Amino acid sequence: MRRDARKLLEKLNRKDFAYKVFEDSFSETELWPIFEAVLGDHGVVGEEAVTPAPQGVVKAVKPSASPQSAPAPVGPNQIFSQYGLSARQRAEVRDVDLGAFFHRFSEMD
Amino acid sequence: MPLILVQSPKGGTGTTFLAAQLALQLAGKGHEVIALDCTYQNSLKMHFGFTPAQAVPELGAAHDEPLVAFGVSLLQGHGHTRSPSFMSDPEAALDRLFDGRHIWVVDVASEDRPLLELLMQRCDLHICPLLPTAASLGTLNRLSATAPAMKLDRTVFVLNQLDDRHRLSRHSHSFVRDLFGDQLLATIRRDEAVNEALARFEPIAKYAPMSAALQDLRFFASAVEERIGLALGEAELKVTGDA
Repeated sequence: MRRDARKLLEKLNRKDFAYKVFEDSFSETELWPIFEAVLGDHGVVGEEAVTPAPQGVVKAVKPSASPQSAPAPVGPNQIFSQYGLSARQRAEVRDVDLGAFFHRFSEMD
Repeated sequence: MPLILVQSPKGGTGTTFLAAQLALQLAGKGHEVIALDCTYQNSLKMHFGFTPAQAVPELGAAHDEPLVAFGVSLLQGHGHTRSPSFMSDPEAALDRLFDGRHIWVVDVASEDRPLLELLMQRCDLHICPLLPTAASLGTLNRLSATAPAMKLDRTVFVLNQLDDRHRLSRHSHSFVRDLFGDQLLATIRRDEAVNEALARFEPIAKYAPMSAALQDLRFFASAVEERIGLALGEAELKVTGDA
């Protein structure tokens, strides 16, 4: 049981609640056409804007943190460790090769 | 004189809500905060327990009694920032207005580009609320005429009304987090308690102390403090009426 869940149940003094870990829903992350449009928009990403690939919803990426977890504002290290990326890798993706970022969504299954 | 702008190119993303809640949380941490409503709607006050009919002192009107709630001084700036006296020399007018003792949290309407551009030059932080919707993401290219959204050093994003029950909401969260990195300052979960508290003219902390959104708002305020180097001091993290 996750620590925050256990603490909450203790706080509520409820021992009769069942606890279940649901499948990580981020594993189904899709590249929606609106995401492609944003990635291809110079007004958002600048000169590194990516020409959108043929449209289509593509299964993507790696599992990340559970969406049930409290979304604390954290630094890039924590955020991208959820994707298995370091902050340095993240910076490279963002500043140098946005295309890689784009394809990370579009090519994985 | 920290100046924090809250503005989104898309209306209805929770700009006023986030401006009010940020002001409340920062005041609860011991900061002296002024919340300035520069929108025609004049609805910021409702988040502080005031009814729509309640008059709010106008910015620049020195003789008005201050309207203070939960440690936050409220001002209305929609009229003044359009007045001839202000527009004749807006820089000088802003120099006179913004004192050095308070944190100013300014709610700017989505359409008010002139005021946004004026205040962007002197703000410490621009908070752009987003929704996990295509309509909101589609306005990201409207943030600045001179620089792409990812290159705006003083602009951060807050993903509001996040609802993990919905697929696009989850995917938008993942996408925005990946795209903007630490420019995504916080996420706020969709929580009906926010709407219900507003309908009762009560703080969320009083109406629904276990509100998921309230927990997120506390994280949000702490992230703002950290981002612009506001000293925490010894003040405890407690908003007035925060049970």
